[in-house]
Amino acid sequence: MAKRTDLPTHSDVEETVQEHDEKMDEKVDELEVYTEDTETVRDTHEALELETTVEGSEAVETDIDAAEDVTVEIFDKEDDVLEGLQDDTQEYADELQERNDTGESDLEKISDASGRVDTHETINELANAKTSTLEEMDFLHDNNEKAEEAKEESEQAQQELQNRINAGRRS
Amino acid sequence: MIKKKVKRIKPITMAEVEAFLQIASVILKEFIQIMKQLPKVDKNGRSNSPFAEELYAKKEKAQRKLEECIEKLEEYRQWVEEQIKCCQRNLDAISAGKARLRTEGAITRFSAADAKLVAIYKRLVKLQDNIKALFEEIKKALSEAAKQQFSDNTPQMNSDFQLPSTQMNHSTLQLDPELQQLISMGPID
Repeated sequence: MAKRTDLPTHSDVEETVQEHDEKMDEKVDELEVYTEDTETVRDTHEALELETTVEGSEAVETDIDAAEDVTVEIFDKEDDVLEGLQDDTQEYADELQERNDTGESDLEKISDASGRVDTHETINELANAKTSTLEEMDFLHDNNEKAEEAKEESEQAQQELQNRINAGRRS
Repeated sequence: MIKKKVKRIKPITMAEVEAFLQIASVILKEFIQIMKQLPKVDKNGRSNSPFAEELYAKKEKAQRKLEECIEKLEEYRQWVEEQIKCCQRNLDAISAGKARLRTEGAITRFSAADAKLVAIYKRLVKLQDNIKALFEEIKKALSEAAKQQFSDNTPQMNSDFQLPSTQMNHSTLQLDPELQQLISMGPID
């Protein structure tokens, strides 16, 4: 395991996981706005009676198409940003998993060492080390799960929004 | 003469209506001018003027042209009325959509569309007013003309001239070729 001084505190870990979750949620909310606006533009376009031959109608249609282009373009751009946030979350979850794996190997080492020592004091110390390693692993596992879940929820919401945008996307 | 009814192939445009209004105004002016030149007739519709028959025949020809204009005007009046209603519905749709939007760029585009539709709407309303005014002028001129009838062989006109029914099939009118050609030339500069 890494040296104690290099490791973030529990509250740092919890804060980082929470921060990733909030950032992804905020971005999904933002994408929801662009999706709703895109649908509003599409509904308006559908409601318009622009098949008439009145001069200038084409220009009106062009403006409405341009409004859709604006909302879809922003959606696509912010969608990429969301993917970046999800990647960051995944990266952090992987980091937590890695530390958890290191804990596993520490446990093995502790078990090996326990079998080789006879002094009561040392055995007790190793038992304490084992307990704290197990607690640390639990903590890392919980936070890894939280990060993974947050990312999955975000991806699910993103997929739904992408489906709505792509349903009426003009080629 | 039985006019051949044909389906309109080219859709009506505002420019076409504007051009027609100018042409119809000229036709009306010519008619009024002809009316002024007509010799007086007695209560039996007879005149001492040796040119009476010729001048009244000219008047009848001009009158027929004007009656054709009335039919065409009715077609255009209905078209303009429909377009105004359509324009109002479009304006309502854009306004409702714009009120729901939160993306600034999209709102800007909707405002531009709204402004363009308002311009179309104003042009249509102006056309409607001009059609109505011309209708009234033509109606008045034709009523005046009905009072001045030559009793000879010239065809008689009903003194209670009525505007064509609004139920008229406005897509099947056939104009005098001369008039049609004038309209196709576009607005008078």
